[in-house]
Amino acid sequence: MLKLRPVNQLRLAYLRGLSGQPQAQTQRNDGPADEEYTAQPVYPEIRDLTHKGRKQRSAADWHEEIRQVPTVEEKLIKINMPRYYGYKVVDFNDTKIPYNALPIAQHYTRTVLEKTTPVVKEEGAKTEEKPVTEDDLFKAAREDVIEALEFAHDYSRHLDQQPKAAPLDAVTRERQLTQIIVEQLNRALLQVLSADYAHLNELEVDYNPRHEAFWAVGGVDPPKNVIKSKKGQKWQEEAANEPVDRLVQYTGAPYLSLRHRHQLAPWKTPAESESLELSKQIPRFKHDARTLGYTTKHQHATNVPGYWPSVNGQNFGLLSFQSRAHLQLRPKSYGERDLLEALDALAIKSSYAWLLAQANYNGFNTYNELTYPLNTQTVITNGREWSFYEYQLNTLLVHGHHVDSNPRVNFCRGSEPLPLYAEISPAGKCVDFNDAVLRQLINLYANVPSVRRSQVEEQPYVASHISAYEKAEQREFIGKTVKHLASNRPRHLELPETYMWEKLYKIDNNTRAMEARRRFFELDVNPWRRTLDQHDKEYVPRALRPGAEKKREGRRKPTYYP
Amino acid sequence: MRLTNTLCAQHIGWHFKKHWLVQGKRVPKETGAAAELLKLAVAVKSPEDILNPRKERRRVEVVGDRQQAIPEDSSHPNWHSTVCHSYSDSSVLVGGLPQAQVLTNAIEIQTFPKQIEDALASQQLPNSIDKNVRHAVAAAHVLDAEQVKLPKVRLPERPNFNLPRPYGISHDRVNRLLVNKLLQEVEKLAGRSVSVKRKLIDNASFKTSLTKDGDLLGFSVNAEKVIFANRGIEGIKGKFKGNLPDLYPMKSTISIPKNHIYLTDNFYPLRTDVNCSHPHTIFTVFNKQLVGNAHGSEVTTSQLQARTLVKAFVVAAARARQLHGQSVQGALPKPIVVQSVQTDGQTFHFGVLQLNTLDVGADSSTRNYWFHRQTYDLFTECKYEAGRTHLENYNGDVFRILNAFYNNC
Repeated sequence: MLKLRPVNQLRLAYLRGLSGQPQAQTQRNDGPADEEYTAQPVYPEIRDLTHKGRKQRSAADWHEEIRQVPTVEEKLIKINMPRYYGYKVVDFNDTKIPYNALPIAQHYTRTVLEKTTPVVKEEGAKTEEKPVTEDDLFKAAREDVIEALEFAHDYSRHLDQQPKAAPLDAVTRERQLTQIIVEQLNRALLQVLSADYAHLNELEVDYNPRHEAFWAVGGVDPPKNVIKSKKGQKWQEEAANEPVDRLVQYTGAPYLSLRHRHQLAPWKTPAESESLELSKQIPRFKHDARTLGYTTKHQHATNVPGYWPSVNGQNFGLLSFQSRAHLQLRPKSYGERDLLEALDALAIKSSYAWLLAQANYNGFNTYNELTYPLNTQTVITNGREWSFYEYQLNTLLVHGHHVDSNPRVNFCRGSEPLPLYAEISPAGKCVDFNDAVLRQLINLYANVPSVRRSQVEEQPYVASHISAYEKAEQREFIGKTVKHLASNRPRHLELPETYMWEKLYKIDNNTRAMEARRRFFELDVNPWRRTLDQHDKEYVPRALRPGAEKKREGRRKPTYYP
Repeated sequence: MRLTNTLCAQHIGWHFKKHWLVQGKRVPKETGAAAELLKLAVAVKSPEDILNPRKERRRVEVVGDRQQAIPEDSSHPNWHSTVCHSYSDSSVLVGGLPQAQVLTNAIEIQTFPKQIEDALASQQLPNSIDKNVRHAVAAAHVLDAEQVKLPKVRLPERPNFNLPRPYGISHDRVNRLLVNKLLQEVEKLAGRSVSVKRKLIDNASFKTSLTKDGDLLGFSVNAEKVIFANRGIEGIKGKFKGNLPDLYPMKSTISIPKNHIYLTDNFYPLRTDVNCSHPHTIFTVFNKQLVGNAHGSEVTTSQLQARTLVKAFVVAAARARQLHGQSVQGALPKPIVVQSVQTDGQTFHFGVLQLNTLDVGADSSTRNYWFHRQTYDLFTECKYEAGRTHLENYNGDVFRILNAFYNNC
């Protein structure tokens, strides 16, 4: 406390000086250099000098730094710069949906959920437009799809009879059958529809792609140790219960996903998407995600929409087919309603994560807000039951104070699961085929991605491309680092750890006073604060150095971290 | 000077340890006392028998968490006294294509059938197709974001180096994506009129068994992708003459592993009354990590071509058995034509087999036909550098042949 006093005095003097400044200016105003002065005093921005204010400002500065990074790949590295060992993240994945998963999914993705039955409405609209061709098309599609379904089931039945076929568990069996059905149906629909819908010829089809996304979420209660440590400091006592950010990492692999060069048209206007009232209605899950059954892990932040960044690629998602096989593992006691909520939660999570990963490849990320909405369509299926969702991503800012102050929200609308057919008879025929579901599926394929943007508009925060860098060494370094971070391969050396005996005999009780202090906790080093670039740089053998005469020069390869 | 090194140069402790080990196992000398006592009809017992008498333990059948493995000996339910030469996915015919020809009774014709050659000569493809195919190749080889542990890389000149383990797209996945994407391009060109008559499936198994000159041959193979058609491919017109190669002194079954445990059943992955059940084209993946010669030498081009032939043969034979019954022998009423493609992601080998007879004996009157050309490289190098893909020496012929194969009927 004694030390603080002079600082306070200084601050007072500074404030006094600030308040005295305008007076000084008016006195000098009649001097010769008039241009330097204005009639109305222009004050520098008043900065919030509280601890919280400074923290927010430094965070904002870092976010601005990320925005200024010129290339997509470097942005992906930049987000990882603060942590050598990776972030502690909540493990969101598509294989585990605990009980009561909807509120947390909505909070973490800032999503408003709308339940709709768009079947009747859209069907009516379509038939009015072009009744004849649409009907022929539908008939052809219906025939092909039924045939594909029967074929898939027949083939799947034979798979079980295969010699040496080990009995599969229920989840694997469902995944296997659904994979076959989805691939067959996708092929059948592409064949039928591609004559009338030209955009289907330009699709990129991903089979079991890797979808990963990383983001930060605010508004979560602080953990006990944070509260305790803040309460121990008098000046932080008041802030002890303030919410903290949690980092989330989604990992998933849908059965199939379709991408296109252009974007789907948004179905909510910007005005509809910006509403502070609506954002207040989004449920807030303040507890730790671990209370629901999610786990945490340490890993580098990865953002992967199924492929590596490529110039002029099919960068926008059209449709993804998600699995619901693991829902079988949920106890029956969770009830019917929770199952429906779990499907909604899965749709929200997977759609948000995929769109976020796409946004990352366009230069946005969880700290840099989108400048245009992104849309996708999601299907969750087990072959028989189909639920259809549409998602519009308007905002990515969920971290820090944005969880309260950000007026923009994301939207998800979807229907309850509907059966495509009742059953496949023992003779291999499809019984009670549901036309409404097929119509809905066709609508997803027929949704033409029509929004085209110029390069500048599409990637406002991307100033360059790594192939434009002159140094080959730099291009190679960036490419290699991005993949190395994304692979999250196990570390070669063990993670730093305080062993239990060290806690007892070195930290709590100083029983080994004569021993050399070499461990990190004896040197006052927090190994988890180590940044990505704090490592020994790669050694260059002398024979490979350009200036071989000088011994010290060029011994280490330069690094190009952003 | 530290003395330890010198003192430990001869570590006497080790010798003492060994000495104890030997002495501990000392066999008591035979004194002849026991024999003398036996002569006098006195029972001799060892102290062990009196101190720890043996207890008979009852055997309890424990219900475990997994099924007990069936011992692979003559007690196995599928044990046969006659040996079976079991050809599987990992087998390599050491004699290469000549051996495969003798094994399948097929004569080699080093060109494609006339209808395919005509189609190749006359096909008109849009200009953009090569661009699409290039993209498909890059998408499968480098752009996919899978990162799994790949097989270890060894430098032949420095075999002890432990290089960093590469992470990337697995071999299976590269081939799955490549074949899927190439077929998608083909189907786009073909349009619905053709593609509705075809069905694709992944990882289909085929099984069959035959007798050749008194040897039992069992085949069990997997095709990574199979195209089924609603009609079988027409038999190839024209008579082809040729002789089987002479393998002497080799026997045609050499290098096929022998087995006593086997089933002689036939397996075809679809029923006959399904709309598209005729085998049209099979795609096989060649993974050199899984398929290799018994003594570790590289698989030669001829051995690779043999694999394409044998796989096509197994599919055709399994289909023939399914259509005409398990007992069918000799010439088939209608020949079965199967097209076969083998790839390792870069090299492609195309062939067409016409199965005329199931009699593969040396003195068979009719022969099967095997049409093929040499192998093609789709490209020489495909890499991802600085956010761009590079494809070197792309060969458009591969796609054209594939297109002709797909449209063949």
